Amino acid sequence: MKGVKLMIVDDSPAIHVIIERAAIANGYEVCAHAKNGDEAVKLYESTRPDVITMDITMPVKDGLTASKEILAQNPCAKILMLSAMGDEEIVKEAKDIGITHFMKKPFKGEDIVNAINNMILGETGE
Amino acid sequence: MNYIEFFKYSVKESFENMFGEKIILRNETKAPGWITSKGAAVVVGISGEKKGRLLIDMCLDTALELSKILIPEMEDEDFALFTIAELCNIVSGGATTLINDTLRRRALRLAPPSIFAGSNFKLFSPKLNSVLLSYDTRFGEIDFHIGFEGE
Repeated sequence: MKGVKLMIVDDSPAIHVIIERAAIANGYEVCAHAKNGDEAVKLYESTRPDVITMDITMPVKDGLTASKEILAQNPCAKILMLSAMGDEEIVKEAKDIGITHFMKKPFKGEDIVNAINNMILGETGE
Repeated sequence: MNYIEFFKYSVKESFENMFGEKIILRNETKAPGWITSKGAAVVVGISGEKKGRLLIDMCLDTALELSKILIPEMEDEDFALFTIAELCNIVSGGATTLINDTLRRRALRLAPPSIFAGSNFKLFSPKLNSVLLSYDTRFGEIDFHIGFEGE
C-alpha cells in the first residue's frame, strides 16, 4: 500500500529499525521518528502522519498520555498501540482514550504491516 | 504460582516468539546481592504494589548473534544492546501482564530499560531478594535475575 505516511514512536531503536524496514519494503513513507511521547506530540503537529505506531512505556511522556494529546488535536488520528504489557487494565485505559488498535510485543515486521493495512482499509472501506 | 513461575513462562514465550529459537532452563538458584556481568546487561525496573526488577546478562557476542536474527546484515554493538533491552522489556511486560491479570490486585508497571555494557563490571541490588534463572541457547548462556523487595 503506497503513500501511507507513518510515524514510529518508541524508546527502543531496535523497534524503529524493525518497523521502518517492513514499512519501506511495503511502500510506506516513514515521515517521523520519536523516542518518547513528548517528541511524538510535537512531531504529529508538523508531519500529520496517516498512522502512528505508539509504544506505551517510554521516558519523558508515556504513550497513553501522548495518544490522548494527539487525539485531542485530531480525534480521527489512527494510532496502533504497541506494548510489551497487555493486561486488562492497560487495554481498558487505551480504549477509554480512543485507541482502537492494540498489538502486543513481540511482533514481526509483517504483523505491523498487516495491522496498518487493516487500519487504512477500515477507513476507506476498500 | 509464585512470581518466578510467571517469569519462567514469559522468558520461554518471549524468547521463542522474538527469535524463533529454543531457550532451555539449566539452573535456578537464589542469587547474591551483587552480579558480575558477562559483558552486556539490561535492567527493567518494576513498580506498583511490589517493587522489583528484571536484569538480563549475557556476553556481547551472544547479544550480537541474537540481534542478527532480527536484522541479519546489522552487525552493530549498539543495535545488539538495543535488541537485548527490548528482550528484557518484553519478558518483563509478559510476566507483569500475567501477574496483573492472574493476581488482580498487584497492578505492576514497568520503567524504560537501562543498558550496561563492558567487561567485569558489578551491579548491586542490596534491597532485593533475587532468583537467578540460567538458560542455555545455541548462541550462549543468558542469565535472568529476578528480584523483588520482601519476596
